[in-house]
Amino acid sequence: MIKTNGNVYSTKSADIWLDSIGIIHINYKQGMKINIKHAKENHIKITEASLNLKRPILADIRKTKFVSKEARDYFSKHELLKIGLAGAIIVDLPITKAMGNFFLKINRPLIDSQLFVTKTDAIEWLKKYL
Amino acid sequence: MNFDDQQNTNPKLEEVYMLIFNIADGNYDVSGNTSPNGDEIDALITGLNMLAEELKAKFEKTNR
Repeated sequence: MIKTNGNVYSTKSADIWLDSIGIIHINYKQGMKINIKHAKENHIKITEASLNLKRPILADIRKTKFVSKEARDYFSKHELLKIGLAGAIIVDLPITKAMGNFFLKINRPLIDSQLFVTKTDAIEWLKKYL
Repeated sequence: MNFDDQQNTNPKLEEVYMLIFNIADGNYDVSGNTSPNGDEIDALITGLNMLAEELKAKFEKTNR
């Protein structure tokens, strides 16, 4: 297991931390419907956790209930370019797969992004960007 | 076919029909409820909810 490299930042919607190999983890909390307010709050904490460097991002949305259009747009467009090198999204149930696929195909993030069903595969893929 | 006449229709499928009819009618403020199961029908409902949001945004942008 890859350990945290310091602080875990807890927001209303997610826990965010930088791991020991340089990947930012965003674990969304149970049953959250992510809106633009959550996205902006998380963006601030990601920037803090990243120590102001662009890093690969691993977003675990398995417990998420919904992500609003405003939040999807916020994290697919320019804001993501400021903080991320690549994005791996972890999904499991059909509902989170649908959210992930919709995000990739319709909102089209500006950084290289993929869906994964295991954290191990996601981290292996993100290592290319370290 | 009139879905109101159907007997024993899966309530979650009724949610899907409701969303499709509303979106087709231009009512993009509609939103369907998903169950904690997160199954294929919940995925379909989620996709339709997202579709409605996207169409609403595009429609508003076009009319500006």
